[in-house]
Parts: sequence; C-alpha cells; structure tokens
Amino acid sequence: MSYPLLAILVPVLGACTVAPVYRYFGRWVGWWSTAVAALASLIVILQLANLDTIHGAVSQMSWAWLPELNINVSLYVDGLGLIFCLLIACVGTVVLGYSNYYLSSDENLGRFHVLMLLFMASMLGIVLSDNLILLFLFWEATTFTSFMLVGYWDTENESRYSASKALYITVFGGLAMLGGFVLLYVVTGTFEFSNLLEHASDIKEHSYYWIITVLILLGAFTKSAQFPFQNWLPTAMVAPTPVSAYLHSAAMVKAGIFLMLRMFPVLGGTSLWVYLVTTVGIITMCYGAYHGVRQFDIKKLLAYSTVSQLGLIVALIGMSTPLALFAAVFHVFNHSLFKGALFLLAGVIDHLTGTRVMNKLGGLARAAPVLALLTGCAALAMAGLPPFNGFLSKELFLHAATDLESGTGVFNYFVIVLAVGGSVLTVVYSMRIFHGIFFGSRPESLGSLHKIPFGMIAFVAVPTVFVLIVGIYSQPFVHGLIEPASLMLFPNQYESIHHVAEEVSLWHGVTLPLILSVSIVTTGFLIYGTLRYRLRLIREAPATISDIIYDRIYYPIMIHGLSKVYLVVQSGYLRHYVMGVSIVLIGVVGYTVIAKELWQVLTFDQSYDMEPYELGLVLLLCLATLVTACARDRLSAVISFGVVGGLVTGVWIIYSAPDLALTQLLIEAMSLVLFVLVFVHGLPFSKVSFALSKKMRDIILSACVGGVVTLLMWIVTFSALFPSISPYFLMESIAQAGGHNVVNVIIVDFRGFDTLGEITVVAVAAIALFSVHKLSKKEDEIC
Amino acid sequence: MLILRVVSKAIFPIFLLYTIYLLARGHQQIGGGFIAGVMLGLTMAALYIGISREFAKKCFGVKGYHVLGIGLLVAIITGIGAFFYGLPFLTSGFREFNIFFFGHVELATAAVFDFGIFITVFGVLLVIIDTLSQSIEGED
Repeated sequence: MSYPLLAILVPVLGACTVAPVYRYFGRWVGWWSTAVAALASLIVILQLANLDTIHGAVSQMSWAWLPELNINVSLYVDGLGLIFCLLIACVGTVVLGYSNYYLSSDENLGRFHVLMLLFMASMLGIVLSDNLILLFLFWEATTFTSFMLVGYWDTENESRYSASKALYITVFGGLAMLGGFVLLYVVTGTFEFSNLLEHASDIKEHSYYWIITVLILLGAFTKSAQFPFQNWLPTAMVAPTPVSAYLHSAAMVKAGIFLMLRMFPVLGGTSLWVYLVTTVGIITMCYGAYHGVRQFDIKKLLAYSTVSQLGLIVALIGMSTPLALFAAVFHVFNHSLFKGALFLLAGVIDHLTGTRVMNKLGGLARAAPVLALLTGCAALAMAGLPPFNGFLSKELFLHAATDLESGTGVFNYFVIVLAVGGSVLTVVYSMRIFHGIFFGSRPESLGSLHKIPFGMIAFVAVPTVFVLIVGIYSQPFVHGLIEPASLMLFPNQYESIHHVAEEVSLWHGVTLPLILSVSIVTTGFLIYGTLRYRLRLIREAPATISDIIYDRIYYPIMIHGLSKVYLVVQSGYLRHYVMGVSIVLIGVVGYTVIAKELWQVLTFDQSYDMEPYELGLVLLLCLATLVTACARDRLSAVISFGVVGGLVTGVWIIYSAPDLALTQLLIEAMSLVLFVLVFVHGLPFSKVSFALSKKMRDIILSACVGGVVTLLMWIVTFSALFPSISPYFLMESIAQAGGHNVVNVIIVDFRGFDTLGEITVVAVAAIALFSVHKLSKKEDEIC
Repeated sequence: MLILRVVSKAIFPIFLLYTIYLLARGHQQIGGGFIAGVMLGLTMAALYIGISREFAKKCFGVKGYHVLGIGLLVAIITGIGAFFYGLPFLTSGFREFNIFFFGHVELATAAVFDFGIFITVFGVLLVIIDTLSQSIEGED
C-alpha cells in the first residue's frame, strides 16, 4: 500500500468510524477525528520526507478502475501536490482540534466530524489525482461536503440559502470544468494529467484550445470565488467558524488555485491565459479589498479579504513568469497560515465577547493581551508587514507585477495600479481588524467577557507562530516546499527558480518593490487613520452586481423555473411514467426501423410447426391478457395479471430457460403477496374511471407499443443484423469466471457493474418507501 | 386462517433450506443470489401474513434497512477487493479447491458478490413487507 492512497483512505476510514465513536463516547469524537487528521498529516509528512521533490522527483501509481473508458484510480505525487497536501492535512488537524472548544456538545458533532473528514479526504484526492475524471469526482465531493457544512445549522433559513447558493454556483463551474476535461480527452485521447504534459504544445495550437481553457478556468474561478462568481463566499460565512477557517480560507477555495497551477504547464503561458487570468485576478483583488473595508461583521470582512487574496494569487498565476508562479505558490502557503489563524481568532473573539460586529468591539487589548498579540501577528502578515510571512510573498507579488514581460504597456500599468490599490485597501482592512478591535475606547455596550479555554488559544497559536517563523526563517520552507512546487510548473527552468528562492529574505536593499511596499503601508495607515474617526462614513456595501444577477435571475430560474419542469416530468402518477417510457420506445424503435429500412428483412415464408400445447399456451396467454385489460376492478386485474405471469413462466419452461422460469415464478408470487398486503387491508386507492378520450388514448398507445415490440421481435428473430453475443458468453463463462450457470455468471461477473447499479436502485426504492411511510405517519417510533 | 398458520410454520425450515441450496449452487446451476433473496423474502412473507408481524419480526430479529445496507456493502467491498490485485473494479477471480466431503469445488469471488445481492434483495423485501404490513396492522 502506498503512502498517497493511504493519506486519502485514512480520513475516509476515520469518517466511517465517527458514528460509533460518537454514539459511545459522545463529545470525545472531536478528539478522535483530530487524531485521524493528525495521522493523515503524519503520512503526508512522511511522504514528503521520502520523495526527493527538491530535484523534481515524481511518484505515480495507478489502479485500473474503468480501463475501457480510460478512467483509472491513478495518483500523481509531486512537489506541487505535496505542499497542498501538507496545508490541507495540517490546517485540518489544527481546525479540528480547535472545533472541540468551539462547538458545544449539544450540536450534532457526529455529522460535523464525518463531513470534515470526508472533506479532508476529497481535498487530498483532488491534489493527488492524476486522472482528471477522478479529480472531478473529488472536486464535486468537496462541493457536496461544503454544501452540507455551510448548511450545518439546517433549521435556519439563512444557512439553507447560503448553502444552496454555494452549491449552485460551484456546481455550475464544476460542470464547465468537466466539459473542459472531456474536450481535452477529445484532443489528446487521455485523461491522465501526466500524459497531458507531453501534449502541451499540441493542445495550445489546437482550435479547441481557447474553449478548453475558458471551461476549465470557469471551474477554477467559481471554486476560488473569483469575480464575478465571488458572491457565494461571503454568504457562506453563516457556517460554523471552524468550517469557514478550513473550507473557505485554507483549503477548498484553494482547489481552484490548485487546478490552475496544475493545468499551468498544459494550458498556461499563452496570451489568452495571461490577459484573462491576470485581469480576473487583479479585479477580484481590488473588488474584494474594497468590500472588505466596508464590512462590519469580522467573518464577512475576512471572507472578502479571502476573495481579495485569492485574486492576488490568481493574478500571479496569470502573469506566467517563473517569479510570479513562485510567488503564487508561496502566497498560497502563507495565506493558509495567516487567514486560517485569523478565522480561528474571529471565533475566539466571538466566544469572548458574544458578538462579531466590529462597531460593538474595541479596546480589548488590555483584557486579552495574548489574543491581541496573535491577531496582530496574523493581521500584519495579511497587510504585508515585516517580519511576517505575508511581507515576503507580497514583495514578490509587487516584484512580479512591476516585472511583467508579456502584455502591452497599457496592460502592465493597469496591473500595477490595481495591484497597488488593492494592497493599500488590504492594509486598511487588516488594521480595522487589529487596531479597531483591540485598541481605542471600549464601547459601553460590551458587557463582561467570557473565559477562553487555554486549549482554544493553543490551537490558534500554532498557525500564528508559523506565520512568524516562516517570516524570519524563510529559507528552509522556501527550499523544501515552495521551490519543488514551482519546479513542477517550469520543469526546465531550475536555475531561474532556484535564483528566485535564494533571494527570498526580509531585506535586500532599497528596491522598487520595497519602495512600493513602504508607500502602500503608509497610505494604508493614513487612510485607516482618517476613516477611524469617520466610521459613520462606512456603510454596509450595497448589493453587488453578482448578487443581483444571482438573486434576480439565476436563483429564480433554478428554483422556480426548474421546479415547474420538475412538476411536469415528475407527475407522481405511475401511468404517466409508463406513458413516457412507451412513447420514447415507440419513437426510438420506430425511427430506427424506418431509417434503416429494416422492414425489408422481414420474411413470411419461415414456417414453424407449433405443437398443440404451445398453441394452447399462447391462446390462454392472450385470453388472460384480455381479461386483465377489461377488468372492472383492481383485484380481478391483479389476479388475472398473475395468471398472465404464470403462463409466461410456462413459455420459459417450454423454451428451456429454467433460470428465467424460476425467477418469474418467484416474482409473480412476491407481487401477489405484496398486492394482497396492499389490498386486503385497504390502502387508500383512488377509484379509477377514465373519460372515453383517455381510454382511447391508452388503447392507441398500447396498440402502438405492442406493434412496435412485435415488429422488433420479428426483425430480431428473422434476421442477423449483428452477430449474436451468446456464443461468447457460453464459451467464456467457464474459462473466465469458472461458472457453469451462464445466466448467473453474466449477472454477477460479466455484467457485475450493472447488477451493482440495479441492487442499489432497488435498495434506494425500499428506503424511499420506508421514508415516505415514516413521513406520512409522523410517528416517533416506527420500528 | 389456521391452515395458513400451520403451513407457514411448517414450510419455514424447508424454504430456508431451499434458499441456501439455491444460493450455494447459483454459480454452477440454476439459482443465484437474486432468486435466493426473493425465496427468503417469500418465506418471510408467509410468516408475516400467516402468523403475525410480531412473530415474523421475532423470527428474523433484524431490521430491513440494516440488512440491505450490509448487502450493498458486501457487494461493493467485493468489487473494491479487485484493486488489491491491481485489477479493475469488480473483476472476479476463481480457483478450484478439493474440499473434504464436497470433493472438487470451484470457488469464485463472484459468489461473494452474489451473496451481497442475496442479502440486499432480502433486505429490500424485508423493508417493503414490514412497512406495508405495518400500515395495515395500524398503529403499533
């Protein structure tokens, strides 16, 4: 068993054990899931130590899943994947540990931890997948778990609205991305990322290139909350704070970033990529920062700042130089640390004061000095001040923005101006968090403070300490993690990337980025200083254009429009479904017969000597069917229908199909039992009386179905359009599956997947019956 | 009703044996998981109708939704098992054994999958019949 697969399996298995642990140990389940996450982190770290990523080593493994469709469980472990793994697993461990103090034991802890661990597994799956379809499955798994976690407090309308908003927007992007993957397959004939690398130049020259890129970027932009799809992220803040810290700052929103980085060697670097990605990123950065400054809820402010920081990273990915990509990876790493810490701190402040509204907060530094210190570290790192890690990557960002090679002059100026503007606003909102909450006068309305458990602070301190460590001792992190990851993006440019990595330090003389940094911070402080005394000027931002589009157009179409379609398609009457199926059958078969001129194969001269008992059976069958059709009440219809079934069993026996005969007999008996249960005790059945027109319609439809099926049988019997598959099964049954009962071998082996699907459907139907019954009875105890 | 009572009790062990017989020989001769599942379902239905819901529940002592869940799990785990040999999902393997008393026997992993089908089908029927008979016997 290999490490990467183990890293994905450990949280999955952990999630499976949550239910029993929760049942028998109650709130200790939180520590159990923390331990599982820690184990996953350990596996990732071991893998990191084992694989020589510094020299670009890659480890690949593959298990066949659906080889006929080129879909395999194949993993691709490289420097880029591992740095994300490390963030996902370690931040996850910290957040899960923290959640033990955050969530009260009255909450449904079992559900929370199952979803968090499943989320962790699917995130690890995304960053380790080689096969794009596998990646897509994990991608949608994160969408689903995110939906469930945003709607964790499922009785609140706002939670449900936000959860569905996140779902509708990201699923739209996910489907676009799937379309992009399929087009990539059309162009290259492979779903494996490792093979795509060899086709990179073919893809870029192909006429589908731009559509593939746009589709895949749509997936990345929706997931990473880029303009104009950013609006689901701030509303998702209704989720519990650990969820926001983990999913909506450190991990899930990074999935889009990861996808862009992963696809960069295949799709990146063209002028379409540079202009589109950089523009979207830099606009998102400014837009998010502007709205961040205008928020009053700490978590909403942090959400907009996440949007802004993600925009910064996306802009860097768009710039497509080794320096910019290096900075992007570095900032992903730094952002996860300080933003994860800030979200957790927001939870602590909430816990301490009972509010998250910033107007009601102030002057907390004296009461909670440690908290102030931690928040200061994280917020100043976000603002890009030395000696914190944010400063290093911010410098690199400014360096990359001023050093744009591609693009025209106007575009470069546009990027620089927006980069500086966004950074100034970043300083302003960072100061609002740090200075606004911990300094100044303490509002009267703020009552007595609650006590914070030591463990809560301890878990918050872990990422915050790393913010400082990475800032001061950057070289080990840069060489061990960031450099290998960037190397995967520019495999041939080891020298230039190594050069960039060497240069990362807090001080390298008076350079253009440093001058920009100093002026940004000064301007930011000045703006904050003036704003502080005019807080009334800050108003809650009006609805953004994305919100208007979502609320007025997208949401009504999704909810009201589709529910109308749904009501037409799902009428709830069995006869309507049967009618639909019949019409499709008539249409498809009829069309094929006419289009392929199949009636020409029909012959009448085939003579077949019917034995008298066969003739008798057929006549009886016809009679019984006629009786069923003409039955006046349901009971006689059911009984005569049972007779039809019994006679069909006879047909199977005559034509030597004992398996079918046995099955048919048992099923007939079973249906009769079920009908008896339903009838004898009188479940409410509406009386059936149809108008003549409806009867005519049914008769015509039935006649058509009968005719078409007869025609089909006729054609199949008297012509050999295709070679029969039966000899193959008869021959291979013993050789390949070791079974003499060919029917059974087909069911459990050759067509095993179909059977699995069928029994799943049957199981779901039974559960549906059970649930509908339980709901309609509204009893507390059913079983 | 007395006849039904007596008969449904009497046929119970016979039907049970027949179920096992159908299941065991499924891969080689007429039978298989699906048929065996329906067979056991019918046996159970006889108890439900012939005697009473309480008696039948006592007889089987399991809940339908647990049973069908276990069945699906068995089927899926059989499929995943193939991964450990580097083979695609649900690839089956078989080997011939010489077992004391039974003699020459071929055992296939597909038989385990078949067993999963059997469990699932039985679980489904248990859920359906239990639910229906419950709404009949009313508020219990």
